[in-house]
Amino acid sequence: MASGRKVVIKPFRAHCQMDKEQAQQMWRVLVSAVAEIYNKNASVLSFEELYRNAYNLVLHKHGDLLYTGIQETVRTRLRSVMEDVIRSPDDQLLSQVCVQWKEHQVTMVMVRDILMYMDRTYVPQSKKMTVYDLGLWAFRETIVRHELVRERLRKLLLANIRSERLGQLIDHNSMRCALNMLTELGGDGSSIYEEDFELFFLEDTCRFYRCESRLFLSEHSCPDYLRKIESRITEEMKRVPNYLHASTRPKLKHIVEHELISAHASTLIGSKKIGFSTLLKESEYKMDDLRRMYALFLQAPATLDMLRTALYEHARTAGRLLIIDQIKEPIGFVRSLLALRTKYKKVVYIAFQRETLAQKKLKEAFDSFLNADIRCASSLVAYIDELMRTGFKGSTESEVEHELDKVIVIFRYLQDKDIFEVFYKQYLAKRLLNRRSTSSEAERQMLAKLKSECGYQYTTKLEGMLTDIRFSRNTMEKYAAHQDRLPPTSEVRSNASGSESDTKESCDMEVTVLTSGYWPPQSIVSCAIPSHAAAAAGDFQSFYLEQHSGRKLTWLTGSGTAELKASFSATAKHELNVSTYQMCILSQFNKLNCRAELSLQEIIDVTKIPHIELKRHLVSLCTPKHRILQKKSKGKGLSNDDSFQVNELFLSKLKRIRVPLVAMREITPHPHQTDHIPAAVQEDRRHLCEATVVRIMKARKQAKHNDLIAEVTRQLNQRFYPQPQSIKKCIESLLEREYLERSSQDPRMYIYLA
Amino acid sequence: FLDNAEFRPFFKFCFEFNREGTKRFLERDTALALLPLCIEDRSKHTLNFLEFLETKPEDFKINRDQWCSFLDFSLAVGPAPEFDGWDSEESSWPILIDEYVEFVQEKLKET
Repeated sequence: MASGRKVVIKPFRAHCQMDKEQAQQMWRVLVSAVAEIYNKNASVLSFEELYRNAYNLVLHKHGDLLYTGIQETVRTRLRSVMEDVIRSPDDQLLSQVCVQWKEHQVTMVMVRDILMYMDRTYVPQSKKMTVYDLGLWAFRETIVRHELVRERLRKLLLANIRSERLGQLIDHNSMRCALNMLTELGGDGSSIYEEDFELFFLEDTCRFYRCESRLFLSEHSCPDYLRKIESRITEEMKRVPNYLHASTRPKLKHIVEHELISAHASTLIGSKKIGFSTLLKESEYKMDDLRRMYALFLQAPATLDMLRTALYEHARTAGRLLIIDQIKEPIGFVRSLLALRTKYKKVVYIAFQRETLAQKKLKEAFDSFLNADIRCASSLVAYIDELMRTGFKGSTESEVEHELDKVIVIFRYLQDKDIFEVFYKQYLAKRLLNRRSTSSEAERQMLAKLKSECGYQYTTKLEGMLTDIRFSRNTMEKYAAHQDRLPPTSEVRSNASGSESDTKESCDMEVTVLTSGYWPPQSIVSCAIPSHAAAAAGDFQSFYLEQHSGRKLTWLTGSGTAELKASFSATAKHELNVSTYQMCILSQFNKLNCRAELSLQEIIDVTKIPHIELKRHLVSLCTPKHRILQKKSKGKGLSNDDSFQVNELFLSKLKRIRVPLVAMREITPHPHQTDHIPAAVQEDRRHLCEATVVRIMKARKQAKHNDLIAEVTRQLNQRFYPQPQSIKKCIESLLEREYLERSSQDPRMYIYLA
Repeated sequence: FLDNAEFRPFFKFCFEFNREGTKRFLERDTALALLPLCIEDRSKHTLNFLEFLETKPEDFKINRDQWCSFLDFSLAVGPAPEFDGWDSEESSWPILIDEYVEFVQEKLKET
């Protein structure tokens, strides 16, 4: 109770009720405060007082009043804002909205601060929206979703983006602000950003790029197109941090990739007008474009497979064409093949970034065309032959290594390695016997590489051949030492007009001893050799068999050379290097006087040389260049009643003459012309197959048909690829010979018969 | 009347009985005559198979495995043209049977 002038402080009564009047009073204070806030006059307000007012209202159970009041206030205010906004022309709408939004945010924060107690107590209790959210909702409904704002705003945003795509500069700030606003206005289940903007944006983007890409591609080349889309993709991805919401990024990326890359992948790859294939053809110059293509396609992984397949197709076709073009010239073919491989390897390494799948595809391509034609195996052998004979002259060891490595790379692709072995053996034999190999070290290196590829069994015979040559040299040394210890024999030279000597005749001889299992089969038809040669041979043979008893020596008169000293007249003396057969032929003329003739038949009878070989060697002695013998009949061929005599008028500038053998029209085709598997190889394969089947069945006792086929294939695969039909034939043969039988319960099961 | 399980040994016996001495095969003409007799109507393939055998040269010989497999094949695989139960990819039947199926299929293609 107040009295006089004393200031009385009423005690604070916590339980005192606040009546409606007081509540309204407080409320009015708050309303005017909010108005001040809206008018940007917040600085005149006392935060503490306002907070207290709100606090009290809520405390005294007038929360409803407060809440509805503030709701209404906010709405009213926003409605008036809306009037302004909808009236703004298009070019100002965006900035207006942004401005209003920023202000709204600021004011709402302040209001929320004042009403924070209500937010914390009344709002959860009555399950209403918080003040700030209330503001958001109101802003959204009143302004952003207003029918005169919503679409206009969206269209403006999209138009801006479109202009930017077409090269114009736009205001990123307002874009960012607007899109942020949309994001923030979402919540409570709906995403304003997505519904009102993103959906349309994505659709627009899709349409835009679909159109642009089609147009561009029709007018430009593939590399240009790739460059364009590369820049477009970068541009679009920048758009996200610039003003788009982060959640749009994956969706945008997907659309862009799809429209720009996937949709046109097949055209880009297959188009003749500088598509992928053309790029590949000129891969030397177009590596950058290829690299770009791969990098772009990498972003749309489904298209990468198409790219790889195209690479495969291209390599395979190129390989096939190469075969058709050049296989007749094996050495050139292999060189081109190596170049082809290098080219594609580069593409895979640089453009495809060494990707494993691409490497695999390349291997498959080479596998397929190299194994479609057997001549590839024989060409490779011919190429190696060339290297060994002439190519390695003057090369360093590392150069040799390098070349052989390249060869092995091609060798690895070959499926029918047993065919390669057969040819290699033939060529190697020729090289070794004719001393044509430049370096035995190189030969050994090659064999070592083959051994590490295929195992030691593959190269035993080949190595055996090399060893034979080495041993023969040793043997000759020993023999020479042995000869030195013997009393000297007199030598007789082949003398066309001389007489026989009656002392023991002999001549120098160099022998190469071959182990028959290692070398390719040689025909063993012997002829009658002249006595002095026979004597030397006999000497050597007894020496050798003394060293190695139990062995058998057979002389291969079909090979070998002889050096003859020939006197055609008193002045014309020459040394002739001829084949063994030719030596036999020529020495027949020794026994006669100079003008004597020998008929073909006589020569055959005495020398016993096989007819076909005889003709060849004989004709070689009658050629215009080396007319050592003169034959009766004119022309190139021999007739059956031909006769021969020594050509006394033989002239040559050289002292030492090598008489070459004329090439016969081949009876059997040259390995290069045949594209069938040699019979020996087929036979060999059959035996191997049967042996493998027996071995497997012996171990397993029984096996199902499919398992057996699979296992046989697996075991033989290193050497060649066995066709399932041929394996089946082997199985049937074994069934017939009762090595196996079919099970009576299941005809697909085979049982081993001990 | 023997059921199929008991018939198998008999069918095999027919082959054994008719081969000559230590030879492991039947001549083509012997087979042509013998087969229909033994198999009667247990196989739906008989006529086609006989026709197929006739295309083989006179000195063609059929071995035991091929003979017995014919019976198993007839029981396992349905008649032409469907050849139900025939798996051309993984056939473990003797090659003669493969050729027979091919022969019938070719024949049907032409008609």
